Amino acid sequence: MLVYLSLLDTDEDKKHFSILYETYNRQLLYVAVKMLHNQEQAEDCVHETFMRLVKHIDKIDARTYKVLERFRKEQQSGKDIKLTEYLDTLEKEKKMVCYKTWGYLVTILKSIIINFLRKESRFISINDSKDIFTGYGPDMEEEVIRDRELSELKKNIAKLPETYQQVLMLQYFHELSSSEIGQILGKSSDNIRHISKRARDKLRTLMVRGGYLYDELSDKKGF
Amino acid sequence: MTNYLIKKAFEELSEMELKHIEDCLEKDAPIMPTYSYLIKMKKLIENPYSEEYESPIVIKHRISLRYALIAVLLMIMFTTTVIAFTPVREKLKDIIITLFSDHVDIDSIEEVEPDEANFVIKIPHKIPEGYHLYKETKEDNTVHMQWIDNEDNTLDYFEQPSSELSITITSDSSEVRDITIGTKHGKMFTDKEHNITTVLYEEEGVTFILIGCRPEEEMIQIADTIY
Repeated sequence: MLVYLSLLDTDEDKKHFSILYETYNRQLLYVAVKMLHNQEQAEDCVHETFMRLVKHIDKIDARTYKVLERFRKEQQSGKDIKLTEYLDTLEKEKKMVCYKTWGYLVTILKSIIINFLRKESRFISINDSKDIFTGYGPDMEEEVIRDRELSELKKNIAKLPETYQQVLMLQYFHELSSSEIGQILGKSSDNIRHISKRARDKLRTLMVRGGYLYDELSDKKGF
Repeated sequence: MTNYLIKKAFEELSEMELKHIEDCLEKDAPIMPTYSYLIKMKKLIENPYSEEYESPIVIKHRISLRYALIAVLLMIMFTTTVIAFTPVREKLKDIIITLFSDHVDIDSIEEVEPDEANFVIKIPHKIPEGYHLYKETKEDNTVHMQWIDNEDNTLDYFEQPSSELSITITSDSSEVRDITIGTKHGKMFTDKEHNITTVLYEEEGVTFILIGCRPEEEMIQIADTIY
Protein backbone atom coordinates (compact mmCIF):
# COMPACT_ATOMS: atom_id res chain seq x y z
CA MET A 1 0.00 0.00 0.00
CA LEU A 2 2.80 2.36 0.94
CA VAL A 3 4.59 1.48 -2.27
CA TYR A 4 1.47 2.28 -4.26
CA LEU A 5 0.98 5.60 -2.46
CA SER A 6 4.53 6.58 -3.21
CA LEU A 7 3.80 6.11 -6.90
CA LEU A 8 0.89 8.50 -6.99
CA ASP A 9 1.44 11.72 -8.88
CA THR A 10 5.20 11.70 -8.58
CA ASP A 11 7.47 13.09 -11.23
CA GLU A 12 9.29 9.78 -11.27
CA ASP A 13 6.04 8.03 -12.11
CA LYS A 14 5.24 10.41 -14.92
CA LYS A 15 8.76 10.03 -16.25
CA HIS A 16 8.43 6.22 -16.33
CA PHE A 17 5.11 6.46 -18.03
CA SER A 18 6.54 8.86 -20.56
CA ILE A 19 9.44 6.49 -21.30
CA LEU A 20 7.06 3.60 -21.92
CA TYR A 21 4.88 5.73 -24.18
CA GLU A 22 7.78 7.07 -26.23
CA THR A 23 9.29 3.61 -26.63
CA TYR A 24 6.27 1.45 -27.42
CA ASN A 25 3.65 3.82 -28.81
CA ARG A 26 4.54 3.37 -32.50
CA GLN A 27 4.59 -0.39 -32.29
CA LEU A 28 1.31 -0.55 -30.39
CA LEU A 29 -0.34 1.80 -32.84
CA TYR A 30 0.90 -0.36 -35.71
CA VAL A 31 -0.57 -3.53 -34.20
CA ALA A 32 -3.88 -1.76 -33.51
CA VAL A 33 -4.16 -0.37 -37.04
CA LYS A 34 -3.37 -3.79 -38.53
CA MET A 35 -6.08 -5.41 -36.41
CA LEU A 36 -8.77 -2.77 -36.76
CA HIS A 37 -8.00 -1.24 -40.19
CA ASN A 38 -9.22 2.05 -38.79
CA GLN A 39 -6.76 4.59 -37.39
CA GLU A 40 -9.27 6.44 -35.23
CA GLN A 41 -10.42 3.27 -33.51
CA ALA A 42 -6.81 2.08 -33.26
CA GLU A 43 -5.80 5.30 -31.49
CA ASP A 44 -8.70 4.93 -29.07
CA CYS A 45 -7.61 1.39 -28.23
CA VAL A 46 -3.97 2.40 -27.74
CA HIS A 47 -5.09 5.30 -25.56
CA GLU A 48 -7.19 2.87 -23.53
CA THR A 49 -4.15 0.58 -23.23
CA PHE A 50 -2.04 3.34 -21.72
CA MET A 51 -4.89 4.30 -19.42
CA ARG A 52 -4.99 0.73 -18.13
CA LEU A 53 -1.22 0.72 -17.85
CA VAL A 54 -1.51 3.66 -15.45
CA LYS A 55 -3.58 1.53 -13.11
CA HIS A 56 -1.20 -1.42 -13.31
CA ILE A 57 2.12 0.31 -13.81
CA ASP A 58 3.46 -1.40 -10.72
CA LYS A 59 3.49 -4.65 -12.72
CA ILE A 60 6.26 -3.26 -14.93
CA ASP A 61 9.70 -4.38 -13.89
CA ALA A 62 11.63 -1.34 -12.63
CA ARG A 63 14.72 -2.43 -14.57
CA THR A 64 12.81 -1.74 -17.78
CA TYR A 65 13.01 2.02 -17.26
CA LYS A 66 16.78 2.05 -16.88
CA VAL A 67 17.27 0.06 -20.06
CA LEU A 68 14.81 2.16 -22.02
CA GLU A 69 16.27 5.42 -20.72
CA ARG A 70 19.68 4.39 -22.02
CA PHE A 71 18.10 3.44 -25.32
CA ARG A 72 16.46 6.89 -25.58
CA LYS A 73 19.82 8.52 -24.90
CA GLU A 74 21.43 6.41 -27.64
CA GLN A 75 18.75 7.56 -30.06
CA GLN A 76 19.02 11.20 -29.00
CA SER A 77 22.76 11.08 -29.54
CA GLY A 78 22.03 10.57 -33.20
CA LYS A 79 22.29 6.81 -33.55
CA ASP A 80 19.69 5.38 -35.88
CA ILE A 81 19.03 2.21 -33.95
CA LYS A 82 15.94 0.15 -33.47
CA LEU A 83 14.87 -0.95 -30.00
CA THR A 84 15.32 -4.64 -30.81
CA GLU A 85 18.79 -4.02 -32.21
CA TYR A 86 19.73 -2.20 -29.03
CA LEU A 87 18.29 -4.93 -26.83
CA ASP A 88 20.28 -7.57 -28.71
CA THR A 89 23.44 -5.87 -27.46
CA LEU A 90 22.44 -6.32 -23.83
CA GLU A 91 22.70 -9.28 -21.54
CA LYS A 92 19.79 -11.64 -21.60
CA GLU A 93 18.17 -10.62 -18.33
CA LYS A 94 18.00 -6.94 -19.22
CA LYS A 95 16.81 -7.76 -22.71
CA MET A 96 14.01 -9.96 -21.42
CA VAL A 97 12.54 -7.36 -19.02
CA CYS A 98 11.93 -5.08 -22.02
CA TYR A 99 10.37 -7.86 -24.07
CA LYS A 100 8.31 -8.76 -21.06
CA THR A 101 7.06 -5.18 -20.86
CA TRP A 102 6.26 -5.27 -24.56
CA GLY A 103 4.38 -8.54 -24.10
CA TYR A 104 2.43 -6.99 -21.23
CA LEU A 105 1.43 -3.92 -23.23
CA VAL A 106 0.53 -5.76 -26.42
CA THR A 107 -1.53 -8.30 -24.44
CA ILE A 108 -3.58 -5.49 -22.90
CA LEU A 109 -3.97 -3.88 -26.31
CA LYS A 110 -5.14 -7.05 -28.02
CA SER A 111 -7.57 -7.75 -25.19
CA ILE A 112 -9.07 -4.26 -25.61
CA ILE A 113 -9.30 -4.68 -29.36
CA ILE A 114 -10.97 -8.10 -29.15
CA ASN A 115 -13.55 -6.77 -26.66
CA PHE A 116 -14.12 -3.77 -28.91
CA LEU A 117 -14.62 -5.93 -31.98
CA ARG A 118 -17.05 -8.16 -30.07
CA LYS A 119 -19.10 -5.14 -29.03
CA GLU A 120 -19.08 -3.91 -32.60
CA SER A 121 -20.28 -7.41 -33.65
CA ARG A 122 -17.29 -7.70 -35.89
CA PHE A 123 -15.74 -10.62 -34.07
CA ILE A 124 -17.80 -13.74 -34.34
CA SER A 125 -16.06 -16.30 -32.24
CA ILE A 126 -12.89 -16.90 -30.45
CA ASN A 127 -11.98 -19.53 -33.03
CA ASP A 128 -11.74 -16.83 -35.66
CA SER A 129 -8.83 -15.30 -33.89
CA LYS A 130 -6.51 -16.66 -36.55
CA ASP A 131 -7.55 -13.57 -38.48
CA ILE A 132 -6.19 -11.41 -35.71
CA PHE A 133 -2.81 -9.96 -36.47
CA THR A 134 -0.29 -11.80 -34.30
CA GLY A 135 2.81 -10.20 -35.71
CA TYR A 136 5.13 -13.06 -34.98
CA GLY A 137 6.45 -12.85 -38.51
CA PRO A 138 7.75 -15.29 -41.08
CA ASP A 139 10.32 -16.66 -38.66
CA MET A 140 7.50 -18.54 -37.01
CA GLU A 141 7.42 -20.88 -39.97
CA GLU A 142 11.03 -20.92 -40.98
CA GLU A 143 13.13 -20.50 -37.87
CA VAL A 144 16.17 -22.57 -37.43
CA ILE A 145 15.35 -25.21 -34.89
CA ARG A 146 17.66 -24.86 -31.96
CA ASP A 147 15.43 -26.69 -29.67
CA ARG A 148 12.65 -28.69 -31.34
CA GLU A 149 10.49 -28.91 -28.28
CA LEU A 150 10.63 -25.19 -27.59
CA SER A 151 10.06 -24.47 -31.25
CA GLU A 152 7.03 -26.77 -31.34
CA LEU A 153 5.67 -25.12 -28.20
CA LYS A 154 6.00 -21.65 -29.67
CA LYS A 155 4.22 -22.70 -32.85
CA ASN A 156 1.40 -24.26 -30.86
CA ILE A 157 1.06 -21.20 -28.64
CA ALA A 158 0.74 -19.11 -31.81
CA LYS A 159 -2.08 -21.41 -32.95
CA LEU A 160 -4.08 -20.81 -29.79
CA PRO A 161 -6.96 -18.32 -29.88
CA GLU A 162 -5.86 -14.83 -28.95
CA THR A 163 -7.57 -14.75 -25.55
CA TYR A 164 -5.91 -18.02 -24.54
CA GLN A 165 -2.51 -16.61 -25.50
CA GLN A 166 -3.13 -13.47 -23.48
CA VAL A 167 -4.03 -15.36 -20.32
CA LEU A 168 -1.13 -17.82 -20.60
CA MET A 169 1.29 -14.98 -21.35
CA LEU A 170 0.28 -13.06 -18.24
CA GLN A 171 0.10 -16.22 -16.14
CA TYR A 172 3.42 -17.82 -17.05
CA PHE A 173 5.52 -14.99 -18.47
CA HIS A 174 4.47 -12.22 -16.12
CA GLU A 175 3.58 -14.57 -13.26
CA LEU A 176 0.40 -12.73 -12.34
CA SER A 177 -2.45 -14.15 -10.33
CA SER A 178 -5.89 -14.79 -11.80
CA SER A 179 -7.35 -11.73 -10.08
CA GLU A 180 -4.53 -9.52 -11.38
CA ILE A 181 -5.00 -10.86 -14.89
CA GLY A 182 -8.73 -10.34 -14.52
CA GLN A 183 -8.20 -6.70 -13.63
CA ILE A 184 -5.95 -6.15 -16.61
CA LEU A 185 -8.16 -7.92 -19.12
CA GLY A 186 -11.44 -6.78 -17.64
CA LYS A 187 -12.69 -10.26 -16.72
CA SER A 188 -13.52 -12.03 -13.47
CA SER A 189 -10.89 -14.20 -11.83
CA ASP A 190 -13.16 -17.25 -12.21
CA ASN A 191 -13.37 -16.59 -15.92
CA ILE A 192 -9.60 -16.25 -16.10
CA ARG A 193 -9.17 -19.61 -14.37
CA HIS A 194 -11.55 -21.26 -16.82
CA ILE A 195 -9.78 -19.72 -19.79
CA SER A 196 -6.43 -20.79 -18.39
CA LYS A 197 -7.63 -24.38 -17.95
CA ARG A 198 -9.00 -24.52 -21.49
CA ALA A 199 -5.84 -22.94 -22.87
CA ARG A 200 -3.61 -25.45 -21.12
CA ASP A 201 -5.77 -28.36 -22.26
CA LYS A 202 -5.69 -27.15 -25.84
CA LEU A 203 -1.94 -26.57 -25.72
CA ARG A 204 -1.41 -30.02 -24.31
CA THR A 205 -3.56 -31.53 -27.07
CA LEU A 206 -1.54 -29.70 -29.73
CA MET A 207 1.73 -30.85 -28.21
CA VAL A 208 0.53 -34.47 -27.97
CA ARG A 209 -0.44 -34.35 -31.66
CA GLY A 210 3.08 -33.18 -32.38
CA GLY A 211 4.42 -36.27 -30.69
CA TYR A 212 5.26 -34.82 -27.31
CA LEU A 213 3.77 -36.54 -24.30
CA TYR A 214 2.97 -34.23 -21.45
CA ASP A 215 1.24 -34.31 -18.18
CA GLU A 216 -1.17 -31.47 -17.62
CA LEU A 217 0.51 -28.15 -17.06
CA SER A 218 0.46 -27.32 -13.41
CA ASP A 219 -1.39 -24.30 -12.22
CA LYS A 220 0.75 -21.51 -10.95
CA LYS A 221 0.44 -20.33 -7.40
CA GLY A 222 -2.30 -17.74 -7.10
CA PHE A 223 -4.59 -19.46 -9.64
CA MET B 1 6.14 -29.38 -20.39
CA THR B 2 7.33 -27.33 -17.49
CA ASN B 3 6.28 -23.88 -16.50
CA TYR B 4 9.80 -22.78 -17.31
CA LEU B 5 9.44 -23.95 -20.90
CA ILE B 6 6.18 -22.03 -21.34
CA LYS B 7 7.81 -18.91 -19.92
CA LYS B 8 10.76 -19.30 -22.26
CA ALA B 9 8.39 -19.80 -25.19
CA PHE B 10 6.61 -16.55 -24.40
CA GLU B 11 9.91 -14.72 -24.00
CA GLU B 12 10.97 -15.75 -27.45
CA LEU B 13 7.54 -15.10 -28.96
CA SER B 14 7.51 -11.56 -27.56
CA GLU B 15 10.98 -10.99 -28.97
CA MET B 16 9.94 -12.32 -32.37
CA GLU B 17 6.81 -10.23 -32.38
CA LEU B 18 8.54 -6.96 -31.54
CA LYS B 19 11.29 -7.59 -34.12
CA HIS B 20 8.73 -8.39 -36.77
CA ILE B 21 6.74 -5.25 -36.01
CA GLU B 22 9.84 -3.06 -36.12
CA ASP B 23 10.74 -4.57 -39.52
CA CYS B 24 7.20 -3.88 -40.74
CA LEU B 25 7.40 -0.30 -39.45
CA GLU B 26 10.53 0.21 -41.55
CA LYS B 27 8.99 -1.17 -44.71
CA ASP B 28 5.38 0.04 -44.49
CA ALA B 29 4.17 3.60 -44.84
CA PRO B 30 4.48 5.42 -41.52
CA ILE B 31 1.35 5.75 -39.42
CA MET B 32 1.00 9.41 -38.51
CA PRO B 33 -0.94 9.79 -35.25
CA THR B 34 -3.71 12.34 -35.43
CA TYR B 35 -3.49 15.65 -33.63
CA SER B 36 -6.34 14.74 -31.26
CA TYR B 37 -4.58 11.53 -30.28
CA LEU B 38 -1.35 13.37 -29.54
CA ILE B 39 -3.21 15.89 -27.38
CA LYS B 40 -4.99 13.10 -25.47
CA MET B 41 -1.72 11.24 -24.86
CA LYS B 42 0.03 14.45 -23.79
CA LYS B 43 -2.67 15.05 -21.17
CA LEU B 44 -2.44 11.45 -20.01
CA ILE B 45 1.34 11.64 -19.63
CA GLU B 46 1.19 14.96 -17.77
CA ASN B 47 -1.46 13.75 -15.40
CA PRO B 48 -1.83 9.99 -15.53
CA TYR B 49 -4.00 9.73 -12.41
CA SER B 50 -6.59 12.32 -13.24
CA GLU B 51 -10.10 11.09 -12.53
CA GLU B 52 -11.42 13.05 -15.50
CA TYR B 53 -10.45 10.38 -17.97
CA GLU B 54 -13.08 8.14 -19.31
CA SER B 55 -12.39 5.33 -21.67
CA PRO B 56 -12.86 6.61 -25.22
CA ILE B 57 -14.36 3.27 -26.18
CA VAL B 58 -16.88 3.35 -23.35
CA ILE B 59 -17.81 6.94 -24.18
CA LYS B 60 -18.65 6.01 -27.74
CA HIS B 61 -20.91 3.20 -26.61
CA ARG B 62 -22.54 5.46 -24.05
CA ILE B 63 -23.31 7.95 -26.80
CA SER B 64 -24.80 5.18 -28.95
CA LEU B 65 -26.91 4.04 -26.00
CA ARG B 66 -28.04 7.59 -25.42
CA TYR B 67 -29.27 7.94 -29.00
CA ALA B 68 -30.97 4.55 -28.79
CA LEU B 69 -32.76 5.58 -25.59
CA ILE B 70 -33.93 8.85 -27.15
CA ALA B 71 -35.23 6.94 -30.18
CA VAL B 72 -37.18 4.53 -27.95
CA LEU B 73 -38.68 7.40 -25.94
CA LEU B 74 -39.75 9.19 -29.12
CA MET B 75 -41.41 6.02 -30.40
CA ILE B 76 -43.31 5.59 -27.13
CA MET B 77 -44.45 9.22 -27.22
CA PHE B 78 -45.57 8.88 -30.82
CA THR B 79 -47.50 5.68 -30.10
CA THR B 80 -49.16 7.25 -27.05
CA THR B 81 -50.17 10.29 -29.08
CA VAL B 82 -51.64 8.17 -31.82
CA ILE B 83 -53.66 6.09 -29.35
CA ALA B 84 -54.81 9.13 -27.32
CA PHE B 85 -56.27 11.19 -30.16
CA THR B 86 -59.34 9.59 -31.72
CA PRO B 87 -59.14 11.26 -35.13
CA VAL B 88 -55.52 10.18 -35.51
CA ARG B 89 -56.38 6.68 -34.35
CA GLU B 90 -59.30 6.39 -36.77
CA LYS B 91 -57.23 7.69 -39.64
CA LEU B 92 -54.47 5.22 -38.87
CA LYS B 93 -57.02 2.43 -38.68
CA ASP B 94 -58.37 3.37 -42.12
CA ILE B 95 -54.88 3.40 -43.57
CA ILE B 96 -54.09 -0.02 -42.11
CA ILE B 97 -57.38 -1.46 -43.41
CA THR B 98 -56.77 -0.05 -46.87
CA LEU B 99 -53.23 -1.33 -47.00
CA PHE B 100 -53.59 -4.78 -45.55
CA SER B 101 -57.14 -5.90 -46.01
CA ASP B 102 -58.96 -7.21 -49.06
CA HIS B 103 -62.00 -7.57 -46.89
CA VAL B 104 -64.72 -4.96 -46.86
CA ASP B 105 -67.70 -4.94 -44.58
CA ILE B 106 -70.67 -3.09 -45.86
CA ASP B 107 -72.71 -1.46 -43.18
CA SER B 108 -75.89 0.37 -43.80
CA ILE B 109 -75.17 3.97 -44.41
CA GLU B 110 -78.47 5.20 -43.26
CA GLU B 111 -80.65 3.28 -40.94
CA VAL B 112 -84.15 4.24 -41.75
CA GLU B 113 -86.68 2.71 -39.49
CA PRO B 114 -89.12 0.95 -41.75
CA ASP B 115 -92.73 1.59 -41.44
CA GLU B 116 -94.19 -1.86 -40.90
CA ALA B 117 -97.28 -0.95 -42.78
CA ASN B 118 -95.10 0.04 -45.72
CA PHE B 119 -93.07 -3.13 -45.86
CA VAL B 120 -94.03 -4.24 -49.29
CA ILE B 121 -92.89 -7.55 -50.55
CA LYS B 122 -91.16 -7.13 -53.85
CA ILE B 123 -89.77 -9.84 -56.09
CA PRO B 124 -87.59 -9.90 -59.19
CA HIS B 125 -89.63 -10.43 -62.32
CA LYS B 126 -86.92 -11.39 -64.74
CA ILE B 127 -85.53 -14.81 -63.96
CA PRO B 128 -82.81 -16.35 -66.14
CA GLU B 129 -83.91 -19.06 -68.54
CA GLY B 130 -83.70 -22.56 -67.15
CA TYR B 131 -84.20 -21.49 -63.53
CA HIS B 132 -87.23 -22.58 -61.55
CA LEU B 133 -88.38 -21.51 -58.10
CA TYR B 134 -86.96 -23.91 -55.57
CA LYS B 135 -87.79 -22.32 -52.23
CA GLU B 136 -89.76 -19.37 -50.93
CA THR B 137 -89.96 -18.02 -47.39
CA LYS B 138 -91.94 -14.99 -46.35
CA GLU B 139 -92.14 -14.36 -42.62
CA ASP B 140 -91.44 -11.63 -40.05
CA ASN B 141 -90.61 -9.00 -42.61
CA THR B 142 -88.07 -11.28 -44.26
CA VAL B 143 -88.36 -12.60 -47.78
CA HIS B 144 -86.10 -15.29 -49.18
CA MET B 145 -86.59 -16.81 -52.58
CA GLN B 146 -84.29 -19.24 -54.32
CA TRP B 147 -84.28 -20.37 -57.94
CA ILE B 148 -82.22 -23.23 -59.21
CA ASP B 149 -81.33 -24.58 -62.66
CA ASN B 150 -80.56 -28.06 -63.97
CA GLU B 151 -76.92 -27.69 -63.05
CA ASP B 152 -77.73 -26.75 -59.45
CA ASN B 153 -76.71 -23.13 -59.98
CA THR B 154 -78.73 -20.99 -57.59
CA LEU B 155 -80.11 -17.51 -57.67
CA ASP B 156 -81.03 -16.13 -54.25
CA TYR B 157 -83.15 -13.10 -53.47
CA PHE B 158 -83.45 -11.51 -50.03
CA GLU B 159 -85.61 -8.64 -48.85
CA GLN B 160 -85.37 -7.43 -45.29
CA PRO B 161 -85.74 -4.16 -43.34
CA SER B 162 -82.26 -2.65 -43.02
CA SER B 163 -82.63 -2.23 -39.26
CA GLU B 164 -83.28 -5.91 -38.87
CA LEU B 165 -80.79 -7.05 -41.47
CA SER B 166 -79.46 -10.41 -40.43
CA ILE B 167 -77.54 -11.09 -43.55
CA THR B 168 -73.87 -10.07 -43.52
CA ILE B 169 -72.23 -9.69 -46.85
CA THR B 170 -68.43 -10.02 -46.78
CA SER B 171 -66.34 -9.95 -49.83
CA ASP B 172 -63.10 -11.83 -49.28
CA SER B 173 -61.08 -11.56 -52.46
CA SER B 174 -64.05 -9.95 -54.22
CA GLU B 175 -64.12 -6.81 -56.28
CA VAL B 176 -66.57 -4.21 -55.03
CA ARG B 177 -67.98 -1.43 -57.13
CA ASP B 178 -70.79 1.05 -57.02
CA ILE B 179 -73.62 0.45 -59.50
CA THR B 180 -76.81 2.11 -60.60
CA ILE B 181 -79.97 0.03 -60.84
CA GLY B 182 -82.47 2.21 -62.68
CA THR B 183 -82.54 5.23 -60.40
CA LYS B 184 -81.26 3.39 -57.40
CA HIS B 185 -77.64 3.23 -56.19
CA GLY B 186 -76.21 -0.01 -54.97
CA LYS B 187 -73.09 -2.14 -54.66
CA MET B 188 -71.91 -5.14 -56.64
CA PHE B 189 -69.54 -7.79 -55.30
CA THR B 190 -67.89 -10.08 -57.82
CA ASP B 191 -66.15 -13.17 -56.49
CA LYS B 192 -64.29 -14.24 -59.61
CA GLU B 193 -62.81 -17.29 -57.96
CA HIS B 194 -66.23 -18.82 -57.31
CA ASN B 195 -68.06 -16.96 -60.07
CA ILE B 196 -70.61 -15.47 -57.70
CA THR B 197 -72.05 -11.99 -58.14
CA THR B 198 -73.95 -10.19 -55.42
CA VAL B 199 -76.08 -7.11 -56.01
CA LEU B 200 -77.21 -5.11 -53.03
CA TYR B 201 -79.15 -1.89 -52.67
CA GLU B 202 -81.32 -0.13 -50.15
CA GLU B 203 -84.59 1.72 -50.64
CA GLU B 204 -86.79 3.33 -48.02
CA GLY B 205 -85.25 1.42 -45.16
CA VAL B 206 -85.40 -1.97 -46.89
CA THR B 207 -82.39 -3.88 -48.19
CA PHE B 208 -82.60 -5.95 -51.33
CA ILE B 209 -79.97 -8.58 -52.09
CA LEU B 210 -79.53 -10.73 -55.15
CA ILE B 211 -76.87 -13.49 -55.26
CA GLY B 212 -76.14 -15.67 -58.24
CA CYS B 213 -73.75 -17.11 -60.77
CA ARG B 214 -74.96 -14.97 -63.66
CA PRO B 215 -72.92 -12.33 -65.50
CA GLU B 216 -72.74 -8.91 -63.87
CA GLU B 217 -74.86 -7.10 -66.44
CA GLU B 218 -77.56 -9.75 -66.20
CA MET B 219 -77.62 -9.47 -62.41
CA ILE B 220 -78.15 -5.70 -62.70
CA GLN B 221 -80.97 -6.31 -65.17
CA ILE B 222 -82.61 -8.82 -62.79
CA ALA B 223 -82.26 -6.36 -59.89
CA ASP B 224 -83.90 -3.70 -62.03
CA THR B 225 -87.03 -5.88 -62.28
CA ILE B 226 -87.55 -6.04 -58.52
CA TYR B 227 -90.88 -4.46 -57.70
